[in-house]
Amino acid sequence: MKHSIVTGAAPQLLQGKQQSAPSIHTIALPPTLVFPAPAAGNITELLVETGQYVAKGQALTHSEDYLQPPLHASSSGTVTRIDSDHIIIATDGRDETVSGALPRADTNHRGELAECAHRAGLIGHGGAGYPLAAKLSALHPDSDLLLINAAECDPSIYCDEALITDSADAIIRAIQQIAAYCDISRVCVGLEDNKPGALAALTGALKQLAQTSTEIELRVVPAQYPSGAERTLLKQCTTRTPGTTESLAANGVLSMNIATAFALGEALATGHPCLERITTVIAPDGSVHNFRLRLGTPIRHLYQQLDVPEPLEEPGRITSGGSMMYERITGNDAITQTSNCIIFEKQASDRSPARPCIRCGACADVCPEQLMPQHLHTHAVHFNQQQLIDHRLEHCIKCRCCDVVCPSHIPLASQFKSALTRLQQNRASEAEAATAQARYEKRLQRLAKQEVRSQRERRKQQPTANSQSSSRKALIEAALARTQQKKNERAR
Amino acid sequence: MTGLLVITLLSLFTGAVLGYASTWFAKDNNPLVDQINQLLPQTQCAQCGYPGCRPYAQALATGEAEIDQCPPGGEDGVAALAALLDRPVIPLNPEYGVAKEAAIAVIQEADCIGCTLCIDACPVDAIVGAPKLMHTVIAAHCTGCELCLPPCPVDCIDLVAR
Repeated sequence: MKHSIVTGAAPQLLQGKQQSAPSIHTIALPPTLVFPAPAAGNITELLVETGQYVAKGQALTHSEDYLQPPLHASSSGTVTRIDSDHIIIATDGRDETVSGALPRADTNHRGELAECAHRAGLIGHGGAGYPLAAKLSALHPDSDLLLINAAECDPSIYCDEALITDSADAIIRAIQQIAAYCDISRVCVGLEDNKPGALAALTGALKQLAQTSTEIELRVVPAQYPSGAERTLLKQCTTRTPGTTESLAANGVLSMNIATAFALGEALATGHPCLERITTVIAPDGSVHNFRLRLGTPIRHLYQQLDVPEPLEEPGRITSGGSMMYERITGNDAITQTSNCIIFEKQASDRSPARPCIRCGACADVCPEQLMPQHLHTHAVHFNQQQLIDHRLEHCIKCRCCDVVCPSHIPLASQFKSALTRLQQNRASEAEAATAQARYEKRLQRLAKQEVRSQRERRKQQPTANSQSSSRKALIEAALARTQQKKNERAR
Repeated sequence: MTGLLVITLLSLFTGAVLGYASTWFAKDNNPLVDQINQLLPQTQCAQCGYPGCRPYAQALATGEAEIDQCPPGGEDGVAALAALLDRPVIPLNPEYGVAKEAAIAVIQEADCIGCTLCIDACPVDAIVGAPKLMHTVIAAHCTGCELCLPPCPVDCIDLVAR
């Protein structure tokens, strides 16, 4: 039985940040901007073509589906290449803004807010990148809590802390607006206790606020990875404990990263799409920087700005997403809305080879979602779908706590990630098969009905058809007789 | 006399209830067919020689068809059928076609003459259109069965990878 609120995290995960966030710097406009091209089979429509001039803020893609938010050019320039993976824009340095802003959301309604989030191309800035419009439109109608996630528990990420220190007033305004649009009266902002600067900035901004109907509570939680996981944060900030199988949305909680809330507030205030974000960059010498970066900034441009020599090109040396939940990227990739932290490592890290699982259970002790990674591991290796579902694979947040504590160095989180991908693919194809089956059966029923009806009609028409055919016969005979008569006349 | 009446009424009543129950709460006549049908890919492509997945499932249940006749199901499908029907795993029979990548049909709309022949051929009603008007494929519902390709008189339907 667990006694602490947070599941007993391993000692090596308790270690918080050693320093406060460095201030935000802006770097030179990159010569090229790189955006991911819409995947094949996607319903997203490409709005630009090679050689076309685009202004800052111009939409590159369009989709009505909230799950596929549009992309926008983050500076003015010419589209130089569009291939299957990328849209590349050569910037002209003029930074001309597109004329006409996004249509304003006028009425206080959450549908309008979702539409605005979609037009601004917003996805979650915390790392997972779920489209914000989809989250807002799927919100439970009786939602009564807005949980703003400012925990930033990863020991390498400083971007949210820097954002709060820099623009606390704008953030509070954004949060108020979002709460008003969604008709939520209670707001909780969860912050780790190792960010005194950010806490002071937020407290100061809250004091200046006039009394409003919205109640914004600041909750300071102990710095302990992964306190920024939605469920963990909710448990720590409030007395609510959502059931393990329920989603937060079903519990009436709208949870949002603080940088996402800020970006949505900016989109509401300015009417412009989201074009930049603050990213923490850790250079190979270990120095930490916070940069305000245009979306689409190539990673290569970043390390050229940092005066890092080229050998970074060797694989496995650049990661995106902090020191815990990261993925490996290359110099050709670019900053997206989910790029909260880019780490350039001194040398390619090599993991100790994995040994067999000894079932020590250390992973189960640290799992913040109370899963049993040792069982999930066995079932993921053999891909036992039903067992994976029963052991709640879908609740894994890929925090990698289990990876860190595993004495056998098994890459558990990446195994779970690929198993989950396969599971979702299987689910999708099963759903497709079910629709196809239903449509096939409906069609058979329809054909059978049509057959019965046409038979009935044929039977009804039979007598008239007979008389018709006899009259037709008479006509033909008459015509034949006439031609015969004409022939005879000619012969005479 | 009363006893006789009561027994007669009672038997008439229970008989009516049972008769009603047997027609309205009828059990599925063959659950095995449903189980087999669940394992089939539901492309309704008729490559197996039967007009759809359910007819093939029925043939499998009666034992008149082999489990190697479904190319879209692939080797995994054969293995699943073998496990359910307790038959040995055999490779796919190339006579019925080979396993391919999942695909969907796309109508080249400029070339379509609006003949409606493909609409009649589609087993899942995934093609919309009217006589002498352009037709189009509902991508979300297309199973890639290729049944619309042969009837098209102007060859304007292509299969593209999903």
